[in-house]
Amino acid sequence: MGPFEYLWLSIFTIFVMVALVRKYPNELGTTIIIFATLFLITYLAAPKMPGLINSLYARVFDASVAQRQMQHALASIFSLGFMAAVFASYAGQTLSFPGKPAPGWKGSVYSLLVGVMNGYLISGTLWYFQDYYQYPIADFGLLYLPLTPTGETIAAFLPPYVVPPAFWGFLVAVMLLFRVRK
Amino acid sequence: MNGSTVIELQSNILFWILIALFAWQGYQRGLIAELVKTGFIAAGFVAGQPDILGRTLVKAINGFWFAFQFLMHGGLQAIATGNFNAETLNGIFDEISQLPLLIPKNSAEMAMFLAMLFLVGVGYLASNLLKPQWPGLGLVSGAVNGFLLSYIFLPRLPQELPFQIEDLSVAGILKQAVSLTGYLVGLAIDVGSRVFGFIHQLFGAWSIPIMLLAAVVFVLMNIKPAKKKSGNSGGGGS
Repeated sequence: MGPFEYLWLSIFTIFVMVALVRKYPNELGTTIIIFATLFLITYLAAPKMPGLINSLYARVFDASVAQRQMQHALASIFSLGFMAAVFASYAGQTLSFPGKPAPGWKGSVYSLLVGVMNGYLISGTLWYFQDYYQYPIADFGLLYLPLTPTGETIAAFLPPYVVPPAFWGFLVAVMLLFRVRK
Repeated sequence: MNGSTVIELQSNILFWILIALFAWQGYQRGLIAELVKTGFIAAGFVAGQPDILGRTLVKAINGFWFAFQFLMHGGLQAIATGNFNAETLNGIFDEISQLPLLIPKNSAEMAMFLAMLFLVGVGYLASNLLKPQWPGLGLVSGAVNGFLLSYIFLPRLPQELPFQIEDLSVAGILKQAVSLTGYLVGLAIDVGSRVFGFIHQLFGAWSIPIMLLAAVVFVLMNIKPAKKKSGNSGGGGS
């Protein structure tokens, strides 16, 4: 596998294209789910989960979890949980904002903007779970470390690093207000 | 054709294309909308020129920023309590004199350029709100706006454009298209990173949260309300 930022860029591009097809009133439904999931993970789950895993493991195996095992477990749980939430926001009956997209090129620009935002949030968050827990994926030979200088630069701007946990909740509240108002 | 003739020709072609585009837009929008746009373009032009209004604007913004900081660092309390003794005021001034400028000297040009873009953009949006009237005069006024914008923006383009109009074969045109696309992508990345750098200088660690909030609110405000159908509240799309 090549540099990690290529994978990031591929996921990012896919979500930008999906947004261009689905149009921004539908894509904003995914955005609100992403914000809510990020709030739940970073504000509530991340501080509590290590303790919970430790106590469960101690009860079952009567031993404490090794640090690397813990990093694997946390990165996997959060990544899978996040992906499940994103998948749910796209599949079946979805949450969308009532109304029509702006006609013509303006609508496409807004869809592009929301696509860039969703792409950044989704690919950036998945990368964050790897970066924060010391790249567990590298143990499976799926990634060669260290990151390139470009990768290091991008990694400093991954969503959960640059947005305070409570702010995700604030963004959800703002979006809900707009949805109720509409 | 030698190099300088080609560059001159390219600039002229670009100039007339811009005039034609804006004249056509003026015809569609009408005179009043174009005059509003002219006003904002003129305001943007003077705001973007350091010698006319640019430096004064930057100084004014920095001045307001310090006034705001003065109020936040105890000035408001001093005003509310009437405690204007020299010691208190000295303390506040000592504290705020340590703070960095909102627009530092090395970002002044970028701030002026952004102020100019902002005013031109506001003019464009404001002109959209007006009903089209007198299309013939709008065409003339639109051409004038095109001239003004060319006057402002064309000198900012690089001397040598990344494509040549000499080779008009299919392969030549394809090569030029690829070259132009690469140039535009590079330019977009460059402008984007400069603008982000400027925003980061202003808001620091809060840059991305503020940008996310601004993007979300902006897009949400641009959803057109759906025509009401009986008993359908709108959710559950796609």
